[in-house]
Amino acid sequence: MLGKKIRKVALFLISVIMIIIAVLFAIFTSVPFIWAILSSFKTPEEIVRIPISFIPKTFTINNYIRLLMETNFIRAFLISLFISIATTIGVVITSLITAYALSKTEFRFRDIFIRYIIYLLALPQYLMLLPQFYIIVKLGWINNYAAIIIPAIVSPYSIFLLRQYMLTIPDDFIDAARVDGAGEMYIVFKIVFPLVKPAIIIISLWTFISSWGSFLWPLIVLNDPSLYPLATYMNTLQSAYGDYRYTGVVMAGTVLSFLPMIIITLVGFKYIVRGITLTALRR
Amino acid sequence: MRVNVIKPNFSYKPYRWYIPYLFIIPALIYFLIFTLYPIFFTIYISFTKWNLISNPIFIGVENYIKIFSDPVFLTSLRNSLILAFILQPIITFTGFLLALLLNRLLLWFRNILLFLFILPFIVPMAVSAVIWGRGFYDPIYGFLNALLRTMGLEGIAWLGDPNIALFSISLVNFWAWVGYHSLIYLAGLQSIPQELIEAAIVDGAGSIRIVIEIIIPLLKPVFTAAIILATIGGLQIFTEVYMLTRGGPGYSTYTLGYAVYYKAFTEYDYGMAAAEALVLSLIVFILALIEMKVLGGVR
Amino acid sequence: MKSISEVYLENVTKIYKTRFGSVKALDNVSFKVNKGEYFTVVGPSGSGKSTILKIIAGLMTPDIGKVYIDGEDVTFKPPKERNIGMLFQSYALYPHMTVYENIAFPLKIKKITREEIDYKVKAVAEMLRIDNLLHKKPAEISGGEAQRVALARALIKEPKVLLLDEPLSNIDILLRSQIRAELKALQRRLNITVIHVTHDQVEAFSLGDRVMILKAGMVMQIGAFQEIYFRPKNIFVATFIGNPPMNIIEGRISRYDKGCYFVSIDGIIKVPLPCKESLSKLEDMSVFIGIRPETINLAPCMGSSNKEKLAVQVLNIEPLGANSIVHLKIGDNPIKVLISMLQLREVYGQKQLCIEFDPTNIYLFDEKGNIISL
Repeated sequence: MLGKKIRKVALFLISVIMIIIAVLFAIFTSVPFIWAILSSFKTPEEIVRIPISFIPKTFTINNYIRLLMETNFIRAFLISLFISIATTIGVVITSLITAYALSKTEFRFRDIFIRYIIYLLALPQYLMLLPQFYIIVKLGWINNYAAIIIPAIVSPYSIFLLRQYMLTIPDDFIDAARVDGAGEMYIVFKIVFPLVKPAIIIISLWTFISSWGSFLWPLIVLNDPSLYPLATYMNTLQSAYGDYRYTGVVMAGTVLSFLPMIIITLVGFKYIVRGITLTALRR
Repeated sequence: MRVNVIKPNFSYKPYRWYIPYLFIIPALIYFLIFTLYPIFFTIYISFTKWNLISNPIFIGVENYIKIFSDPVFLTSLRNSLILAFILQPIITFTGFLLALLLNRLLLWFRNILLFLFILPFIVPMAVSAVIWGRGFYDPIYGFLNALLRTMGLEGIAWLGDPNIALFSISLVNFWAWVGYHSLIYLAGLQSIPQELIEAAIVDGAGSIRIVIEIIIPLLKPVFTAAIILATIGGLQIFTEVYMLTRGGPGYSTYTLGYAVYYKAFTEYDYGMAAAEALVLSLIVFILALIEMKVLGGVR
Repeated sequence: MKSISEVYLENVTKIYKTRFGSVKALDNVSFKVNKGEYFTVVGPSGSGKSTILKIIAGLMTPDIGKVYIDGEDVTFKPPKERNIGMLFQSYALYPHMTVYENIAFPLKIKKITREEIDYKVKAVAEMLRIDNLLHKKPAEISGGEAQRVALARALIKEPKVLLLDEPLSNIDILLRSQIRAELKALQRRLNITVIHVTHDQVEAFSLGDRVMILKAGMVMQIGAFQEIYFRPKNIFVATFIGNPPMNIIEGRISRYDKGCYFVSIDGIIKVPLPCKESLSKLEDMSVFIGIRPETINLAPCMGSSNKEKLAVQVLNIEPLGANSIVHLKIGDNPIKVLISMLQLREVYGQKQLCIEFDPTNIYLFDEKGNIISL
């Protein structure tokens, strides 16, 4: 009798502890963002106050005003937007046609190609970094956004993912279209595309997010700091406002940088989750 | 599925022969120019001395000899190995434990937590690093030190103390990636048929036994994939280092990735940088292979 | 010496909350399984059969009601303490373990010595004729073999009760009758109490000492084959068993000519019934009569007999081999008759056909579908 009661209580306690741990970790992951948001509304005086305050006592939007007026933030933001959107569109198009060719057509080098893509996914970025830079130099693309967008337009991961999706489309659909006289281009964009929409969304989100966060490549390929996209610009911002009193401005910058990402995650949560789980489970 | 008894040249295709090749042209160009050629080129220039302007001068294995006697490089090697082989397993294991917790929760609650878990992964590392640097690691105004002070302890020089800096970088990396791993393991857990677990319960197994003897063995492929991905990523850690410490103090947070960057783009010694990049890649390659053999279960 | 157990469920109710409100998976289910009995539970999908098994096993607890095994209240005891063995529909074999390890798993938990485990595993494997598979993995064995492995795992801890969840659904149709026989023989030999859940009524009645019919979480009837077949409690049970199912015709009770009759809605079918007390309450209410296809005979309309005759219109004849199903109509009412090849030959070619039947073979149901005793 008592044993049963003890067991019940113990099980209950364990569940409670589990929930607490999980919640604690969620707090752990979100605290930096909360701190950034809160700090972005603090006055310079308050930021340097000791003992530190978490919640701003005086609420100010000065930091944002300064950020938007005095710095190149907006420009960096728009640059990132432009690059990310362009890259995403490019990736969707190239992935569509490449994945289609690799899944629904037959040609001699198909299997080699597929194998190559898979191996590519495992290669470290650094192996190819320096010559890639050299090529950009030779092409005269330094300080040109083409240097960022063009190499990013082909994404082996997206091609692979899309191909997996396309393999699940019965060939009958496509053969019927061929019989009806449709050209392969037409088939890709008017027939296959609507059928793989979930995968397209996953790829788009993934490409956008990764493009938004790309740091090293723009750092290398752009000499003029005024051309930096957002992630790389963070470095400029951080050093420009090195004095801790102006951390509020820097934090305003970070908040405006991660806010779009949070919104994207909220809206596309299902797809992002799918994208992540497909990455690892495919192996 | 058609079985080709005749050689492919003769089999009929419902589209013109050049179409597939047309479709793969963009990808092909990309692969040839931006991946295949660079790989060989990197190998080539690792044996030369080159500053990008004048012609590369062939110097044989001199670069390699130099880097292995270069204390900076050796430090970066050591640091990267720590980040790859100590930090990443911790990250993935924590992710696994969290996934076990998440799996027991109600769907809506689990989704809220998951959302928060993966935020650090989605937000650009450069942005997060700034927040960590200013908000947490600042010796005077940072949150962590303030916390310590309220407990009566002294503040720690998170980024200033060469013995602690690497740990601070590790913490940021940990924070950014655990959520991602927990999501992967969660998906893996959900792929285990419920009846299997029920059978184990009926057989009399307790929760711990179920995890150890059933769940973990069944998730071996997921573990392998996650660890390999994490190791590769761990060896290339760059952004955190650049944004927070630039490799310092001293060289205590130099990673292989940062070393390559610095050699190439600050010292303009592309030959040596290439050699370092190659060493990095070789380590990745060998270790991925080892991990695959040891952990097994990979296609 | 194994002890055999009785299982008793009392007023078990299980409620699921969905977006659309709460659904009763089980509604006030009570039944008792006797010691050493082969008890089958049958019902359409969604009727709650698997839920019952899970509650008996301890994988679920009822919201209302209790579960007793051997008189002991085990409602809230975990499966481990109930000493039951369960065969899952998917067999649920651990894919990463060998057959040997799968079977040994329950014993490993009990911390028995390795020699004893080895002895027991080999004994069970031999009994089920899978001893040659012990080193293989589940992916390498056939479906039938997998089932026996799952059975071995369930039996190895010498449970008091064996639960089978749709054991024959995944078996080749051709093998089914053989495995059915093996299951029954096994139960007899081990003298163990078995609760077998299925959606196949033939399976349920051929195996079960007693059968429980379940619909939408409610018990329709419990009993041995004879009882259910000859004394169904409601239309659902009556039409559930028997192929082709019992013919059901709607109509009313009428009194005239100093007698009581059932009259079909279109007025064409009139069947005399004994005038009883129970009938008088039903005047002017909807009733149904039921008659089994095999109790109806086709005969020429000429000729005399003491049975009731009704003129029919033949629609279709479906030959089934030794028997045939004749689809016909009386007025608006569709009727199916099961007759043998000999009977068919007798009436073949006759112009005007009638059916004849013995009125004592008629079942009467009220408007809710429950049986009225005559």
